[in-house]
Amino acid sequence: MNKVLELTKIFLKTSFSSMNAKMGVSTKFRGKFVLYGLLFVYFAGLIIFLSYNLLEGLIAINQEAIFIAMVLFMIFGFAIFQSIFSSINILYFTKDTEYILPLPLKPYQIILARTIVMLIAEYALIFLVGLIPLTTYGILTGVGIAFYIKMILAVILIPILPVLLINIIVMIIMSFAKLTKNRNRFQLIASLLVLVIIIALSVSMNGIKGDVSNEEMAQMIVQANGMLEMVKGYFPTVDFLINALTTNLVNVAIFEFLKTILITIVAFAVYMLIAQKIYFKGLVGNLFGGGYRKSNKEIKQKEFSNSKLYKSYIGKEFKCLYRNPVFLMQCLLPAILIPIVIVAITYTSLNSKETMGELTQMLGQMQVNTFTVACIILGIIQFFTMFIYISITAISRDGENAVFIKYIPVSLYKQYMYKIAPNIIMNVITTLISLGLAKYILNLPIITLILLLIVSTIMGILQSILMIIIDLKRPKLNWDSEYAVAKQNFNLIFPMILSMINIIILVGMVILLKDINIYVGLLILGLLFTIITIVVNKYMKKNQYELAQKII
Amino acid sequence: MIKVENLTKKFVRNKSKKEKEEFYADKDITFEAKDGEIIGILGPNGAGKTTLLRMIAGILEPTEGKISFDDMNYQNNEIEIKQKIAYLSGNTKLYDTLTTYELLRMCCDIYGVSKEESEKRIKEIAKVLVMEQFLYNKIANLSTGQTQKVNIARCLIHNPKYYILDEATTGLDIISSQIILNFIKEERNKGKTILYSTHYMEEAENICNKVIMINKGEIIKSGTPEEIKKDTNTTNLRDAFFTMLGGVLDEE
Repeated sequence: MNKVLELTKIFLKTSFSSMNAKMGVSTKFRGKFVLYGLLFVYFAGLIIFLSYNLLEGLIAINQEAIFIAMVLFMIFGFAIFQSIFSSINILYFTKDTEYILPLPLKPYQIILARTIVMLIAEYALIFLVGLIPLTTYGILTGVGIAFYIKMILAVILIPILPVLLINIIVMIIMSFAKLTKNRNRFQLIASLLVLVIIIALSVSMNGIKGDVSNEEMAQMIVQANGMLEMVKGYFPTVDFLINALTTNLVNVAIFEFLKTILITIVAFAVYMLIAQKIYFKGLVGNLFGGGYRKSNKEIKQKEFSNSKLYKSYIGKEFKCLYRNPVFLMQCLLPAILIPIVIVAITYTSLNSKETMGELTQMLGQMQVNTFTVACIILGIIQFFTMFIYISITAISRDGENAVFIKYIPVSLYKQYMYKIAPNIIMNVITTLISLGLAKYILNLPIITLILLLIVSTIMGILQSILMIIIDLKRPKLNWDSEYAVAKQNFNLIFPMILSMINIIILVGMVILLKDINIYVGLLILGLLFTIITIVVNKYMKKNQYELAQKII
Repeated sequence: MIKVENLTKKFVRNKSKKEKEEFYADKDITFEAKDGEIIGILGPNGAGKTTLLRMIAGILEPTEGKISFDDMNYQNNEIEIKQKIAYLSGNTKLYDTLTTYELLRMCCDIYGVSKEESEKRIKEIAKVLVMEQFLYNKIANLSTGQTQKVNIARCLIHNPKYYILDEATTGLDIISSQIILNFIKEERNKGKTILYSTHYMEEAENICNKVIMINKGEIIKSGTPEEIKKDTNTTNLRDAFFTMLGGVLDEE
């Protein structure tokens, strides 16, 4: 068991190596702690707000227990979604596999350690989306201490089964299907599948209107409860845990928990048995490539026909992004994915005649071509673009190869600019999608849309420059899995912080220049962000060598 | 000619959880590599070879000392120097999502090789290094030997004047190593200046005009292989190396 714990510690350390010993200075730790704290407070506040509104409606019709079922199913769903990606990466595509295999470890020890790492990764998110709404429920309904103990137990138990289930499915596929031995193709298909599911879910939710009262919302949830009742049978542990959390009888709760624990233990035992038989079969096949080269088609020469340095360099950046599924999914796709989901939801919602009529009537009564509306649109774009992680990982993505930039005859500043170009391009794409939506709903004049595009692009350039500076100052060059750069990377918090600061600036501008003409207002905004961008750009140019000091 | 004068690199490392200490990765290194010479840099792991070559390649800034390439230095002619050097370190998979061909084309663009010329050079190098079979395969899928060939091809693509090669034959089989060693010799015969660090003493003895032995960041011996063997009263560089290391250990 000691070996399992040691191995788990190593896996966790390599996964979260951004918090390594190098950064062990207390002030930095405090800074991180404060930043994480702020973000936690922000999202927790959002979840509490939503839960509170929902629960108010449910309490009014005495149906608050449905809320528990909803939250538990949500945790179950989250666990499944997250496992699809983390399973394939943690089990098969970490670079340490070839070092781990020759070690004197028993197969079950490796599998167990990997599974524990996956579960820990799951809990980080699940505690946020699970514990907070359930605590809100507890406070609003005035339940006793026993509920909170039951709640923690339930949140710990729920993700185990989905993780095991997904792991087994992945292992079976990896053992038998040749296609999945091609990492890129497998992850691309998985990514697209998730994309389709997200859009389908968004579209299917079109019946939910934005301005429903709590009572109406509660009614809708009661209807949805019928569906949950149907599904329950397929997920016995969730059903038992719902019963455990909603009952007031201690013995019933204990019995439900015992059933859940028993099923989980049996499932774990079965999982370990199957995994020991099939995990290494797929893993060794994957290590040695198995059919990998056959699937690797020749790339025609004409694909790389230009000889301009900037095109070549930016082309290389894009290729490295879209040919790597993790970077594609984490850095590139969000720019398109998030606005598309929003567009899909809005489009399907507005397509109902009733809603469209209401909206047309509402918009007819108000003036939309105002500075306030323009700032709201810019704020929404800021929200969308904070998930583009291209610039913030521009140096770290290259890993140990980052040193290449230091011995080629191209100035470092130029290379930084080439590296952030994809971020700026994706930023423009996100902006265009968002403005298209704004045009559809608000029917804004073209001149306003063009000005918004310009201001948003300047903000995007500023974001890109600032983010590469941060990545240069805090690069993460020694990593085993791309996830360490594109997901488990502390630096990813900075685009979020910058977007929040930008949103605060926009709010400040609205307060200061409330009744200003929209064009003058946008011009002032554009000028403000241009000045900041020039200053930051000058800083980067002047300190191009100092900034690259950590790349060795 | 590459001229290195009193080159020193100081780093700070953690002595304990709270304490830090300074140490010299390289101290007071001085040597010259003339045109048409291969200078072998030899030393055990941690001796300071890689740091030295990284400083010469412009990756690390020296704490003290000077590096000049003919009449150029990094302070005034950084881009010109980088245009003329080829740096190769260990066994790295540079941009492994690209194909070999794409990587070489990108390097041609970086070094300003024209489109027509780069097509010609890629074909030539692919033939010399026997790379035609995997020219259009992604680098991630190549074997260690094939990857190292790609790295070497990347270095050769812009016809550099100075080569800085850090363990260029590591991980290669005898045939691949020989191809590369022959190529290095040919480049020397064309008047190129080559700095070559290696763990393989026989290799150094065969191809190097001069050898610099480094231990703990300091030069412990330099000269032609013949001079070193004579001075240490040994018959090969391996024994000479151990004799020199033994001497240093004795002194401590």
